[in-house]
Amino acid sequence: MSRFSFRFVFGAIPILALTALSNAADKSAAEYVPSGAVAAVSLHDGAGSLERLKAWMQRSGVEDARLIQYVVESPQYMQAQIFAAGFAASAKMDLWQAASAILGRDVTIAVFPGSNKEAEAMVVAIASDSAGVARLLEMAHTLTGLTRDGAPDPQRSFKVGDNVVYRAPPKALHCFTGDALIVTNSERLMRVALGSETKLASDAAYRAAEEAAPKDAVVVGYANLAALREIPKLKAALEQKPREPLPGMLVGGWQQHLRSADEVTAWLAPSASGLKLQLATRGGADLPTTHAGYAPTDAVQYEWRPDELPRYLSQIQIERDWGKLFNEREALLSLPAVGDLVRFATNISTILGGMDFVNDVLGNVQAPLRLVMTRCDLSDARVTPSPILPGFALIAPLRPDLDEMFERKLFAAAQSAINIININGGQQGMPSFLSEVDRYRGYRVLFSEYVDPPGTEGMETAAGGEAFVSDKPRGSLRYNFAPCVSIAERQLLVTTSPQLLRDLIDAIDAHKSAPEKASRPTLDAVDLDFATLADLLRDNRAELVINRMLQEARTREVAEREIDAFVELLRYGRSLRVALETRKDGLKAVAELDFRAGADK
Amino acid sequence: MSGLLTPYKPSAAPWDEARAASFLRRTSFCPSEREIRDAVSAGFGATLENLFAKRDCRDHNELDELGSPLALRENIEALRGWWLRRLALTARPLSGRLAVFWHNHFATSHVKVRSAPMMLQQLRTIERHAFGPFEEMLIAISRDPAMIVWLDNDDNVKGRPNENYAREVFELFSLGLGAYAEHDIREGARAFTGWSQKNGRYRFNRGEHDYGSKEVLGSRGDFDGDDVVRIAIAQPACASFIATKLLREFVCPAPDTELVDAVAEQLRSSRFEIQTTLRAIFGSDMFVNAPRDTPRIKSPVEFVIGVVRSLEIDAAAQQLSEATSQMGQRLFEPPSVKGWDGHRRWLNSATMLVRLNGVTSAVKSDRFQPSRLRSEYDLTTPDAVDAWCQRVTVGPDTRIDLPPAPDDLDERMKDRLRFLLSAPEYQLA
Repeated sequence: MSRFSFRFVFGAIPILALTALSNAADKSAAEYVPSGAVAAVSLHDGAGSLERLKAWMQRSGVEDARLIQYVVESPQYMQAQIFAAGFAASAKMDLWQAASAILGRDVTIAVFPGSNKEAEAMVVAIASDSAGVARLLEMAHTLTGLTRDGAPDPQRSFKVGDNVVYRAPPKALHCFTGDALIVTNSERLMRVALGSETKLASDAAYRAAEEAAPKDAVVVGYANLAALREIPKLKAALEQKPREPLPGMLVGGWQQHLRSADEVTAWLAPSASGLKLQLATRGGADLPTTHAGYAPTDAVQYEWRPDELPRYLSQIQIERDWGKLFNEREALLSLPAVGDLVRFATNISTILGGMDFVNDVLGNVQAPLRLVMTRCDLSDARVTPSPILPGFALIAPLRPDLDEMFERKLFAAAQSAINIININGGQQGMPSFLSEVDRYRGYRVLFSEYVDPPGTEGMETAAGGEAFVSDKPRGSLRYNFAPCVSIAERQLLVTTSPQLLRDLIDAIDAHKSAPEKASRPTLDAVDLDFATLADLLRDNRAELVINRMLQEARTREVAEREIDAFVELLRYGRSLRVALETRKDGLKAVAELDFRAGADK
Repeated sequence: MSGLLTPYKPSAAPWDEARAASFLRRTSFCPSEREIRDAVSAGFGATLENLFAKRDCRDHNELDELGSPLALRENIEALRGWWLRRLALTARPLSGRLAVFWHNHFATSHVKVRSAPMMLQQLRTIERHAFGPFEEMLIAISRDPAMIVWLDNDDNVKGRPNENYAREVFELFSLGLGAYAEHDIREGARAFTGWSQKNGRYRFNRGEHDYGSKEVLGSRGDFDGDDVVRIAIAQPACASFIATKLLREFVCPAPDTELVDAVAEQLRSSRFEIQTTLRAIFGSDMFVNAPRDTPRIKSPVEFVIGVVRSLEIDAAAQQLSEATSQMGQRLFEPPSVKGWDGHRRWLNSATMLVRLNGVTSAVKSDRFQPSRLRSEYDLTTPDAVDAWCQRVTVGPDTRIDLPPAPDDLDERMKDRLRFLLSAPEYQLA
């Protein structure tokens, strides 16, 4: 599959140069928006982006995708399209031209703290086709009665200088001046926009955001966090200690950064084969000493990459010093969450038998912790599980000074945990695991498998003897889960499938090197491969259809169409990566979405 | 045929909208406007025959195929929702009502059986025999693996008989208390020895069966379980017992002796054909033209399925399952071998509140579409909306004072339905 190139050539307009220009026809949208917005977003070259989107949709075939067709053929969409097309046609334009004319060169949306607890907002669009927009507005004004006999209705309009401002219910005001269409819910903002007061384009925060963005950024924005923190709900959310241990440990560090950061800037730009979105905070204090666990000093870098694994689906990487976080729990979490965490640690210690969860496990693992998911290959399986779960693997680097005794204790603890699972399962009439310690590529491994996979002959008959579409008997959820453990090159591996454990060991063994100390900011990341996700959903199509039929009250035909359409749409995507770097000077989040030129079938 | 079961003659009392709505409410679940209109235009004879139609609709059949995969997931909650969704979609609502009725009669709980496939297999058995001869159904149930686990017949072996199943065959399934003696239970248990199951399949274990002579309900011989079932059904008490239960389900909570005797006679004369007996009851003037004064209280399943069918709501399986469970009826999990007590026990301050809350959520839900219903049934005036609301809930012949309602027709419909579905009259069948 060839990669589709998204190489856009955007003409970014230097803000400083623009502010010096006095000619209204060359003014940017930010030069109309009043200064002092708490948040603002600018869309540059909207008309050009729309053209490129249209071209990509045609070229990639995505406009023929079933999900798009499903939406396009819905009665609601068709009604809206007929209305919009009719409206645009009366202004002698087609729908794309109308949208392009309005989005124009430049659009800025800004939010201001208003009076009476109501936010004020303004949208300014610099039209690329002023005459076209003027015709559209003229039509709209006539249809809605804002003009009578070609003149503005005095009851529903007023003048600011030479400009006519129309008032449309309930509170929206709009004005078209030069090539700028200004829409707001505040008369004050409208008067400032049409006056000579300082504008957003001169604000240091806005300028900094524009300067930080790449030249080809389509969208640039910023938010004043200090001002947003004054919103009571947001303030409470940031100041409250987490009530659940896991979310507290995952997002507590980010929450701490957001408590003190001055502002956040964002931009969206085309990348080589997709889109890249970046958000970054500016200003703010470093993490306090009570939050050291969020910025581990012992993070390591892996040699091998998870996408080397066969049928790779996704990876979640979290960098924390879990031992420190456990010790800092009172400073980080609410009291109930601290209680839950301690109970959890005690229970796990019990399950693990001879190992203490806090000292022997948390105290000996380094960052990052990685959760890798792959699609399972069931071609040799005796029973096809239902649903077919992906294989999960938890990977944690271990401290370099651990001796052989640790490995022995770990295997004993793993066997103890499997025994407890068996006792619990046995009480519920479930089949039990058989565990076996073996060696694979010289590494000691503990495999487990079900003695008697569920979904055997008796159950099939008991269910009424109706045949499945598969040529193999089907088993229930439990079958697709068999815990396995190993340590390879100082990496602790816990997987839910023997196959995935072998694949991981193969990948690690190919590089044959233990993880090295990382020299970069703390990095949390999520990666996803769309093609494998689509394959996994296709594997579980029958299950997904059943769920939609039962839970969404769909007919089989509709449920199948919806699932197939969604799976097909996924195939237009290549990969998604969301990474969050925690630095001394703030947070940086980057999302990268890669597309394919067309869907793989 | 007894005078009490004299056939209804539309020429004497016209088959109109009110009679059709009332008939459908009592023989199936609450009917939709479409079902009422179809019944009126088809006439009484065809409407009665349609109750016993063999084929179901496509939507139901599509859903029906999901039973097996769901059971294999061992997810009884999903299976419960699946059953309720089928009840909501079926074009054979009487068949659905009967399945729930027999599930209560042969009450078996997943709490002990712990196998969704076995519970599904029992439901399939019940559905297959629901209209047929009672003897065949009781014999099939006696071999049902879920029943064998539920009443411990796996432990019923020669020399150490377990009496649980034999006791319930007499007390709960065929005769009722007082129509048998402890001796009959002991001897009956010997007849069921060796009737066991393995991996969800019935298995007759010859080595554990007692082939000796037994004396059951006055008969003596080398009986096995099938013989005991036949002997029990031949007892005079059996016809009265089954007749009483059918009348409680479809006619009134406390049928008088005369009516019970008439239906029992019908059962005997039809060799316990349930379909023939129900046809006689439903086709009688007593049922169509002169319903009993003491109505029954609807079960949660009747209530919930009635609401979604009459208001044409596409409710999700999980919603149906949660609603009926909160109202006190968790299908596949009856509270004891006696099943749900029903009638007055369905309503208390807690379950009534759940019903009222359920009504409000149903009417406010996005899945309820008043505009579509108004358009489909041409409800263009407030009076038409009011009449429709009454017709699909308590029936056009029920006198009920309606409070003031909004002028907006969609809002009016919601308001009226909230009121009518919460009314005491709607809780009754």
